[in-house]
Amino acid sequence: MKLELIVKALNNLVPDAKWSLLGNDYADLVWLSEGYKPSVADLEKEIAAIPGKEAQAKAAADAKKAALLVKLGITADEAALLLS
Amino acid sequence: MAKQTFTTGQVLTAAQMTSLQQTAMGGGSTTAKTGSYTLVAADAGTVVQMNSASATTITVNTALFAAGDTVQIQNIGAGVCTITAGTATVSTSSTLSLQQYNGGMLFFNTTSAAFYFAAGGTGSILMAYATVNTSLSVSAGVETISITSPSFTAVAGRLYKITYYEPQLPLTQNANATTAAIRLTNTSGTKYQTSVANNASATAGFVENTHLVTITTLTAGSTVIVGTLNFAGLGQTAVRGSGQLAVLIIQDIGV
Repeated sequence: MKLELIVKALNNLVPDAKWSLLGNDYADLVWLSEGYKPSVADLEKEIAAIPGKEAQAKAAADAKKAALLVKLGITADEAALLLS
Repeated sequence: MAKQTFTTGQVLTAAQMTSLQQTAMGGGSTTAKTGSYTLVAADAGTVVQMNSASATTITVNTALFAAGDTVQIQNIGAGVCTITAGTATVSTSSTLSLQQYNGGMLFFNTTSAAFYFAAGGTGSILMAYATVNTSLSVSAGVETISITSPSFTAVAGRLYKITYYEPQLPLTQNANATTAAIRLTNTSGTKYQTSVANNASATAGFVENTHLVTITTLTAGSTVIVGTLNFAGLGQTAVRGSGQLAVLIIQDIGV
């Protein structure tokens, strides 16, 4: 499993849990919380869902941005100029 | 060769001359010891070489050596060898606790007062070090040991320089801090140094080359130093790898 994705999956599944992981092997995941510890299957399922969730989140943010630009009556370049 | 008392008219053999030459060149006959040892008069002019896997002592007593006598001390074993003042006094600006491959000269200024001159002078002595090349991920707000030194024997009154390096630490957005620290023993131990990086922007990033250094005395005895990490915000990863090592170094730098 890719380390970056494991961390994202853990953050998504149990954002308040306490844990540490040396390397990228599930066997090295030390669970410091009392509650639910995701299984390997849980993690793999969440990791598989991450690209879709991120694409969905980006599409939602892009749509929100586009709606705001329309409301303001300016282009994306003009908005960038204002923020520069 | 061990210190001799020469007499008028004595003829030295070739072997004695060779041995004297060796002693004059800083070497000489070597007495290997595998356990703690108390110096005797016959050690004058010789090399006492300790070789033990566990800690040992070399005890120095009075009225055995004349003013001007010397004894070379070496430790080639993994166990720390401590030169200990018995009934004599032993003074040094270095440490009397010899790590493996440390050594020096014990010089008797009087029959009861010796000075120990460490080989190589009073430069820093590596006490312990550790490296880690495996990335460490930690959930938010949990201070975690990221690197642990091997245990070493600290000596009271000595100054120790501790260096902790992390190649790449995460920095989450929106004022979430990343903290690295040097501590004694574990995450509850005395904190000697802290480095805090804070990111107020809305974009996550990295802190490159976090470098903590401190100078401190330590309580005498077996000691372990740790480097710890604490990430606010979300679970994050301290990135390490080949050629990208976390490093912890402890050096004895003198008195």
